[in-house]
Amino acid sequence: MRSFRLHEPTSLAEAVESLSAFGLAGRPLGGGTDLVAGIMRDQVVGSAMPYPTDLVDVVRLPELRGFRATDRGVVIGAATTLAEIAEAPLIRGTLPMLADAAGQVATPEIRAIGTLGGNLNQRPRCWFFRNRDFDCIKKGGDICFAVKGDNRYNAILDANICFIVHPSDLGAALMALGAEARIAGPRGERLTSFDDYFVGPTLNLVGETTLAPDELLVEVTVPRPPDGSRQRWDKVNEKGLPTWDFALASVATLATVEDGVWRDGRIVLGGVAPVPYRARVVEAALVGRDIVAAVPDAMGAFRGATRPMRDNGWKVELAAVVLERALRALAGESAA
Amino acid sequence: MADPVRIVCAYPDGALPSGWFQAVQRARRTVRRAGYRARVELTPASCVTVEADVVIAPPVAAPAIRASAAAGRAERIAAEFIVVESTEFGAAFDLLVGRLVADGRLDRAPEPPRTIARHRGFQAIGERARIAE
Repeated sequence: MRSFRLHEPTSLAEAVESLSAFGLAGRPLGGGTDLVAGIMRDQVVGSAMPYPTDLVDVVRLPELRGFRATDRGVVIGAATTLAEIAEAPLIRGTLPMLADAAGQVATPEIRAIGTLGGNLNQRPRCWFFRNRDFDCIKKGGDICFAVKGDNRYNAILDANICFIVHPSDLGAALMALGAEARIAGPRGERLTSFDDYFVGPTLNLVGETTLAPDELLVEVTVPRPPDGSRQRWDKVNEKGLPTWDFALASVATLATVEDGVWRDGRIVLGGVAPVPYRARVVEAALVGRDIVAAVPDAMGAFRGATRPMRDNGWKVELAAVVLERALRALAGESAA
Repeated sequence: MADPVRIVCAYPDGALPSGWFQAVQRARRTVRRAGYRARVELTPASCVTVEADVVIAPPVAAPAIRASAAAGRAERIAAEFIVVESTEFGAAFDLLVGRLVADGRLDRAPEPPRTIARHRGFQAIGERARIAE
């Protein structure tokens, strides 16, 4: 690994000032499980992403730590660890889907130091992107090697020019929960819905979120789910366990179901598109209908929206199975 | 022979829209097919250097590039600084190429000699006569 400078600001303002000074070569540092142990160790660099020579440690900033209940919902600091999110009674009691998503990320060791901000802002897992010998578009090159290469793990939905899948489980969960992000930067603070937090390749080929290089995610506010609503987190990976590995397909669902009828809700899929995918076509096929009866139409709508590549048609079926399983479970839970 | 003309297409740090990328790719194809001696590069705004002959950037990236020049990182940005949206990039690039050719600053690479070279493995074993024009 190449050398770098570690900066330890004592306030949010100082952290923002540091990031502004370092430009593309400066990165905020949380647990470092991807930035240091992945990107930097494996020299994942290019003209669009120079080697991070200046890391700004944000883990100890009080403004980014912990979680609290407010009248707007549960507020979770970006430097809160995944283990804390998974185990907190406040979050497990009101946002069990988020707690499940956090509790199934990777391993206990990674969850102990990995942070919410790090999970949301981690870079994609595409093996062409992660390999230093492939100067792909996302690193500033000219080609997406997945187009003609081995693309078995690449996107089946909403891709354009770049065909990564976004690896963040918590991103999918927070989008399904209708959460909001608070972002700080040299131009001030702003709030962004998680519907807009992740940006696809049409808007940005060299990044995956709305964050500018000199901006920092401070906290996430998750509104109280509607009374009587149901939440589910479903995840499948290559190991056959929900943990240890990234999702091949995941489904985060927040729904209001009455007597088996889908009244309202949000369905977000992870691991299938360059950003967490809001399955609006599936929601539209369900609204006002008995879920079990509407499943064939919902699955047809989902399959119709997919655009598999040469080697990843199997992901369509896998995602459809996970999605159908989630919907039937919601119908069964509601009827119980 | 003069160095190839260096045309740097900049984008805001960390934000490269697909429209800008595709516009630059088309410009590269234009240069390659015409055989012009030019390099069309795509780079973040903070990496634009004084060695560029022409810098093309969208309006959102222009302030950062000008600020870098004003801060002394570069005595001047480039011989020519063009600010244009991605939807107008193609037309602007065609005008630029026309201007560079008319000024004599952009020429075509000489055509390679039309011969047939014979090799056995890595060893050249001779050339036939040049192909008659």
